[in-house]
Amino acid sequence: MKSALPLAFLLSMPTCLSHAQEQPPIPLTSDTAQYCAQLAEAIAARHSTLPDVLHLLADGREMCDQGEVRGGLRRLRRALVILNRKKRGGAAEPGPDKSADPLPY
Amino acid sequence: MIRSASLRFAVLYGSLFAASSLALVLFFWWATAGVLDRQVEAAIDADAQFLVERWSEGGVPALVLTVQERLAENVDDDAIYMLSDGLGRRVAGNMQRWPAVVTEAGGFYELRVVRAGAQSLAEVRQYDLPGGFRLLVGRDVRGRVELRRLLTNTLLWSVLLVAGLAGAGAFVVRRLFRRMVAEISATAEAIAGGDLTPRVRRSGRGDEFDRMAESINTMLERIARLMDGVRQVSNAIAHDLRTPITRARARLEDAAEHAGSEAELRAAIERAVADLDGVTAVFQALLRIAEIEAGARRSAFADVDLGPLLADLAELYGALAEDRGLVLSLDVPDTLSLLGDRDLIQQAVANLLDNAIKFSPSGGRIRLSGRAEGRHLRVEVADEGPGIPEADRGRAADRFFRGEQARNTPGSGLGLALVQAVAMLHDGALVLEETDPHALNKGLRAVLTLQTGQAGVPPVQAAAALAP
Repeated sequence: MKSALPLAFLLSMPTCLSHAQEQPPIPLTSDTAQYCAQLAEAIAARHSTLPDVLHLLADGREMCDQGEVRGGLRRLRRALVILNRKKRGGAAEPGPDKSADPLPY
Repeated sequence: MIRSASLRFAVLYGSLFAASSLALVLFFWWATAGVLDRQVEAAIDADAQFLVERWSEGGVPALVLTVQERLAENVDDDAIYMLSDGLGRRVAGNMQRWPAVVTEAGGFYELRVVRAGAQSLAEVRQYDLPGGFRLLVGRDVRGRVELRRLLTNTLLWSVLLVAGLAGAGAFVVRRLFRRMVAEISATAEAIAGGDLTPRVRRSGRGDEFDRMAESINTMLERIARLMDGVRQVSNAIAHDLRTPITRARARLEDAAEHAGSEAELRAAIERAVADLDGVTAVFQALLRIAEIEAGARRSAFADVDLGPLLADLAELYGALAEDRGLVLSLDVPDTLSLLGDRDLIQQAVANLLDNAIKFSPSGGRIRLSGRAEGRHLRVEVADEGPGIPEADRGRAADRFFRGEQARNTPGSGLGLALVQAVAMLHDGALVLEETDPHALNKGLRAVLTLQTGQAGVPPVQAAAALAP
């Protein structure tokens, strides 16, 4: 009965998967420690005083430093989403313009 | 070609069950894993459309900024973008290089990517921009692929389970069918072997098989009754005809050996001829009944008025009754029309009157009456004779049946058989009953019912005229 499992796997794969198996995997650059550091710098440069943002920024930095890059990035991205939502909502948020401190990539 | 019907039914059942279950499984797969695929593709297209609009509004800088914002705010960590220039150099995005397999716009590609050191799967699509720029938009689909694999595995196990259930169901259907057929087959074989007593056993559930068993059993009862009737008729013919033939032979033999004169010899021959005429009459009566039962005379049906016919019969038999000290009364309307065979009806009523006169004690009364009842005419002959015991009434109209009280009276036992045949020919019936259970003078009432048909129209046309 276990022979059904590979069959199921094959059925679940689309036809272009064969191309994927022939080529070496392509690295994504948005999950690196370097990107994590750049994102943290960009958030810090906006000098937010919002407690949630500060908390997420600190957590994200710490996790990235400890090698948990994806977890750290998730926190930093949440902090950025809060900042941008606040900005789009018209609330006065001190700090430099985002264009002055560009996002990575 | 499968020669076993039970196996064919089993295969048909299994196939239908498996096909319907497979269709259900495929639909479920399409509605779950298929939806996931379509959702990802719709998200990629919507994302790309927005990015192309930004390109139209602000050119490369606006598109680069939007890609950066999207990547920075991508909390789900599944977005994949890449913008390359006309020389194939990366301008923005999170892919290290342009994938070699992605060569043209339009189709979706699945790629292997490395995200934070771990391999993953991505679905991407290329969009061509002016100036040789190419935009790649995609999503990490590892989670979706895992879910789809899980769903597919589950559904495949379901298919195996369904196949097992279909096989088991087919086996049960086959056994059930064989058991049902075996019962009928065993009964048929026993009957073919000469034993007419076995019957198909009913399950008592009242289902189609029970109804079929009931029909077969009814058919067998009918066949058994007919066979019994044929046997009885054969025996009766042998018995009833042997006596007059033997008597005629004995008279001729006696005359040949002992006749003293030509006159004695001639008298013996005349008596033997009379005996043989009786035999011929019996055969003629049998043939007539057979002819009536075959329905051949139906084509000779015509309009008949029973009023005058019954009156004539009453007059004819009234004289005979009077000779025997009986009183024959008549209660018939002037007109009683029906479509039928005049001679046969006359013969049938005459037989009933003859029986009534034959069995009525002196001083008794006989009543001949007739009336219309809906689509039937009812002719009754009631007497004050000994009647027929209830146990014998059901067989009284059988050929050659002679009740205990009729043993000593002349007759062949074919009179009521002919009356019944005439009744059946006219879609009617012959019923024999006690005149009045509480009356002092009990007797027999013979009720002959005849369908009126449609006067002036042959039966076939009448039936067609009544059809909706």
